[in-house]
Amino acid sequence: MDSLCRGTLLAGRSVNYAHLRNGYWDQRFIEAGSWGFPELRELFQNVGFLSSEHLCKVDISKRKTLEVAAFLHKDDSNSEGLGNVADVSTSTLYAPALVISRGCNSAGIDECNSSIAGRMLGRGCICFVGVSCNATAQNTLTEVAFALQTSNARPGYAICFQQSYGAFSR
Amino acid sequence: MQSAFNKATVRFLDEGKMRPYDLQNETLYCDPALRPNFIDEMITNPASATVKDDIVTVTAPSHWTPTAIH
Repeated sequence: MDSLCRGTLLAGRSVNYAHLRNGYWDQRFIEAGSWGFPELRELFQNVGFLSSEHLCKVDISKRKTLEVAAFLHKDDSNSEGLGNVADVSTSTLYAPALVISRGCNSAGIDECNSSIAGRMLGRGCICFVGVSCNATAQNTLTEVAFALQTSNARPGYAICFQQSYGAFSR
Repeated sequence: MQSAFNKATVRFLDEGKMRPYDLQNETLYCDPALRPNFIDEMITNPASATVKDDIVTVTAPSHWTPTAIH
């Protein structure tokens, strides 16, 4: 049943992305976790995103919805939780957001039954970038390059993707 | 089994080296029906390079921002 619900949500979102942009969430992003993400902050602001909020788990868990276009996250993590942000029990709903996490094992969906990547994608996010093993400094360079590409756009267009039936690609 | 397969794959991509920190372990999960729409429009210009004949012209960014790496 859970999979059917998530599949329906995914299909519903996929045909409605163009209608979801409202000029509010698609111009905002947050830095999450204890350390923020200063390497990516400037890149997002340079293409017109508004100044970011720096939120921690206690702030996020109070919200029923979190309407931002991107999560930029750095903190100690595992496959079931982004450090100081959310875990697999989170009930917060998200706008169609890009998640970039610098936390160890954040994308290790093979290491648990219910992963934080699946949880966030199932509750609204549309893209999750993380690492399946321990994070390294080199991963930060990869993420900066990825963000430079995806944020190289007007607000909203950066992560409010066009509908297509191809694989994720440039 | 899944975890072992994952680690084996990552280390294969990492030229087979066994070490606690793998370099090639960046992972992207995404709706396969989506494709980003890129538009070139930045507030400050990034670095660029052009090639004409045998001359490469490199232009510095219009703005520099010191950033601490964590």
